[in-house]
Amino acid sequence: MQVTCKEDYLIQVKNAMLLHFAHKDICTVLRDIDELFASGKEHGKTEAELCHELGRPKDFADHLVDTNDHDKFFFNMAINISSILAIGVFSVYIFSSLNPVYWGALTIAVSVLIWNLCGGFCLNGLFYDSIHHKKEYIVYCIISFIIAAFQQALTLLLNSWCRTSHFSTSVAYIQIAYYFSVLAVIISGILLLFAIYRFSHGSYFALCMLPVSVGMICSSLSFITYIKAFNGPNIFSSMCSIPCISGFILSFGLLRVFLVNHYTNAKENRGKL
Amino acid sequence: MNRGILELCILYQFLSMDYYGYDLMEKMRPLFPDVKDSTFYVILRRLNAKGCTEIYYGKESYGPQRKYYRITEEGREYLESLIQSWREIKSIVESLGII
Repeated sequence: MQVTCKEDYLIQVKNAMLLHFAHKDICTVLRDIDELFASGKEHGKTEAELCHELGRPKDFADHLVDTNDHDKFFFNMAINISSILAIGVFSVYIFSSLNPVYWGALTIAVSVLIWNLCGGFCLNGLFYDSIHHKKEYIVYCIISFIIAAFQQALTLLLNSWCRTSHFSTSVAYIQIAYYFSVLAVIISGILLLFAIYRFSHGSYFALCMLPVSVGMICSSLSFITYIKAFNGPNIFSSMCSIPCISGFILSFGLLRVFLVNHYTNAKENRGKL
Repeated sequence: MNRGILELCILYQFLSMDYYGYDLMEKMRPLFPDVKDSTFYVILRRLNAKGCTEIYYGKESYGPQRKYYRITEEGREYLESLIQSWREIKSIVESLGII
């Protein structure tokens, strides 16, 4: 499919360069392409015309790869594989700790810690996306975290009420939790559709959004089923943990990359003035 | 299109004045209509990596600061070697009666 928009062009060039270049070199090329588009617009060209003049994004990136004397393919692959292994190990550990359910609070705390550690040290440059989508991703991360944190908290409460037989006096709270879960399913469904849409446009970041959205839907359905049938944890609660946590780790890591890169680029540009 | 010809033509342009990326591509496009702008960019980048050109930043455009390229002493020497190579090729081709 022909690319006609600058943002999609940038994303596709970046994705084709990801494994072969250092993060700084990718930033330089994307900045140069951004400048070419800006100059072209000053000359009265549209983004579609500029995309045509530049050629296919994959060919653009292939030219650069062919002439790159410092291919970082093996180094980048090693970093990415070790990061994914680390996330997998942590996810299995957290999943196995979810019974008894009062470990839920610890899950959130450990997840937040892992987000920052993995995002800061292991995932740098893995899923860097165009800075033009920064606001959407920040909003997405905040919404995801709020939904998951609320659900964990409500699950903890419900289970503790069950154990102490307080549930008969907490019907109102359970009703609220039920409606919240229905709303969470709807929001998660919208986030899932958005993730599929961005992924179809070449955004690797959407790979993080897909498992998180699926995890949140499973988590919400687990909650609804729990309340309706009132028979404790069910198949959805088992399914939601790993994709949800893995996706959270990856998406928060990206948020860190965004903030670090935006700060770095702003600092460099100020230095050039 | 032979990479050597493109390098020669691009470097030769810098003898008369400095260029920013898009401006250079506008100049080269009519001469090489079958060559995509991405090829010119890759050559510019490679020449810069070799030390044949140096970069400085000019006034802001709509987007990022405009990056200008200027030829260096090393670039002039490399250009001279490219011109010499082409002269040798030209004399060989002429001696064979091809042109």
